[in-house]
Amino acid sequence: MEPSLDWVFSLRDIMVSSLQSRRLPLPLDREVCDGWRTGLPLGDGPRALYTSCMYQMAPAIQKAVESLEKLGAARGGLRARLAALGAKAAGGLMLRPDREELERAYRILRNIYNMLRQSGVEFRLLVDEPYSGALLYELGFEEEFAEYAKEVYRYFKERGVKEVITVDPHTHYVLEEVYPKYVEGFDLEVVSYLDLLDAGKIRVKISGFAIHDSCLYARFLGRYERVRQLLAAGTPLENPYITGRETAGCCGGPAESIVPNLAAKIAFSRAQKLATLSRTVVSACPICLANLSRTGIVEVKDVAEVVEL
Amino acid sequence: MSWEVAIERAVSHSVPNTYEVLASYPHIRQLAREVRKAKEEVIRNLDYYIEEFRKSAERIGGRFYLAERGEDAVEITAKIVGRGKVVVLGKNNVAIETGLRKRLEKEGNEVWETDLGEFLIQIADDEPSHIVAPALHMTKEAAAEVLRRRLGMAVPPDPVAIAQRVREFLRDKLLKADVGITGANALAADTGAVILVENEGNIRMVTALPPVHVVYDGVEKIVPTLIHALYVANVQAAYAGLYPPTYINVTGGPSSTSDIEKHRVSPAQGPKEYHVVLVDNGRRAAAKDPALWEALLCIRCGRCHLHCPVYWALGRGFGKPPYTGPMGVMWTAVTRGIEAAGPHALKCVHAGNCKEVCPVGIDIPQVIHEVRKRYLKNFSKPTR
Repeated sequence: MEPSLDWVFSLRDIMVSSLQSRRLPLPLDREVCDGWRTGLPLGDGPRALYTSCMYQMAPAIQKAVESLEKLGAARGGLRARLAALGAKAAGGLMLRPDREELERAYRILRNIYNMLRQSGVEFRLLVDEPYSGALLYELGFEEEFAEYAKEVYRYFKERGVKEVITVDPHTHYVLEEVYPKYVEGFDLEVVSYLDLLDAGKIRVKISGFAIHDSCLYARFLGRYERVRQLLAAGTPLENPYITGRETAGCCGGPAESIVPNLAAKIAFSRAQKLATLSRTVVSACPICLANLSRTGIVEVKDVAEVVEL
Repeated sequence: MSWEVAIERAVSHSVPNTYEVLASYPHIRQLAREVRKAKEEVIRNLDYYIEEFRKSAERIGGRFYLAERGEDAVEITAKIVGRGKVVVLGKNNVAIETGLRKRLEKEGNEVWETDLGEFLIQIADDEPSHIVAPALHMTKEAAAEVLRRRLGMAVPPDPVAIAQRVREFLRDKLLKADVGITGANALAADTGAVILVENEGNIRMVTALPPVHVVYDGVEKIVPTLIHALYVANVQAAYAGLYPPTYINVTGGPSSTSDIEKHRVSPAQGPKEYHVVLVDNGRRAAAKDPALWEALLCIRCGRCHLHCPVYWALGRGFGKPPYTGPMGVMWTAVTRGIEAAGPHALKCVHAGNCKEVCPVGIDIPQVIHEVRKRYLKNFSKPTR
């Protein structure tokens, strides 16, 4: 389970070229990002809902990782070089998320949209929104990230956006904690949709599930309790050594593009532990949703699929 | 038996114990904050405190050596020990970092690890997997098997029986040892004393039975005073889930007595020589590094390992022994450089548990992220 530098740099090249041409980190049709808001009014004002295309892309990432594993990206040496070549060739192709998975991502986003509206939150939708660049930063490509982040910031400024509502922890973390360090004059307010929902009106549609916390929400962004507040009516099953703030494991997702078999091993072990509490797991992150679902051990639902106002 | 079984057992024993200790002795968290402050002070003024420690150690009758590189430390110690001696070691990660045992063996010395876990690693000719529990990857079944295969000891797969059998084996070595070498949990700059925490009783004997005691550890173990050193001992033991520790040893120079006319003379029953070999090996450079300096705060409790999903999956494949797990990735960078640590930093998933459970609040994910960034930058290829 050793990462291959050849592969890591090929991945960077794929991402940088894809971000340059379509502001997405993977060769995906931009339509994939925007499909969820068909028929919804765009609205206006300084506050914007920003999906960063995370939920929409997650199913494609899953697919990309599966092909990488088949190409042997995780095994290093000659195989990794071949995989890198393969991926480069694949860069000319378009990845297509599974239709059903994409529809599911759209439903999640529509639910978030509706719940925010029902909570009385005013906001606008964005056209051709760029990906945040979180993955470039997470992988460690600082210079490439810094350059791209300026472009994203400019996108918001040109549209008069002053406040951004995020729907996932990776986008939230990078905008709130990382952008200010890399983008001069960064002044966007960043708010999570989880904080804007009217907790008093929330209904939870299922019960007896286990919560899988996003690492970023639970340990970097202080949302461990907030997620529980929103899901309380569903009486989630807790175990201090499985779902505790300091003891819970990761879904493995952040390793999936570099060491996919490590990501799979972490996901498998996490899912096994969660399954001792419940076969139904609720998460609040598209990466967790994709990575834990792959294990086939637990049924993973997004928080926006199980709560309603 | 697999790593998965071993780590599952270790986590299920240690993690609840540690929470229980911290709940029962709430003042430990306060002490941990004091330890951080004291260590920050030393790291900011490392050269000053090295010099203070030297003066104090010499004042109490010790001999002091500062080794810039690992190989220098090994050579200095090989000279102190000489040839054809029996040498007993307390668990010592810096000895492993610098390859001390093998070097002493090369000089024709008979060298024995006396910590049970480290002893198992020695006889298995293996590498340690955890900073406090080096044989963490060995289940009780595996440990019994190693003893049978390597030493012909018939012992059941039972930790009590294994400990008993190894105690019998090592007692003779301890009694006839010429030199005892230990690490240090903390070194007190004001007094030149070394503090060692343990549960087995081996360190107590290694520091007191042989006529020569060599302390062999990193410069970052220095704290301003003996009181701070005792804080470190308490905090380390508590966050390792082993509190109270069975023994906290203070050694302040060669053995001495003042029973005749209140005049202090040396030696008495314990060692007649007290040597302190302090190793730099990247530490002083790290102290000046805007990111890596934080790694030097680590007190080696080994708690971060047991909360890390990557360590659960990979064990000693995450980091380079003896520095494994989250703290180990940082320490691989400190002692072996970015090139050695980089591939491990790439495996980090940024789960953040390590930061939450660290007694001295090291932002481990951030340090690892910095290692990753530098590694990719150093080995970057132009965008095609």
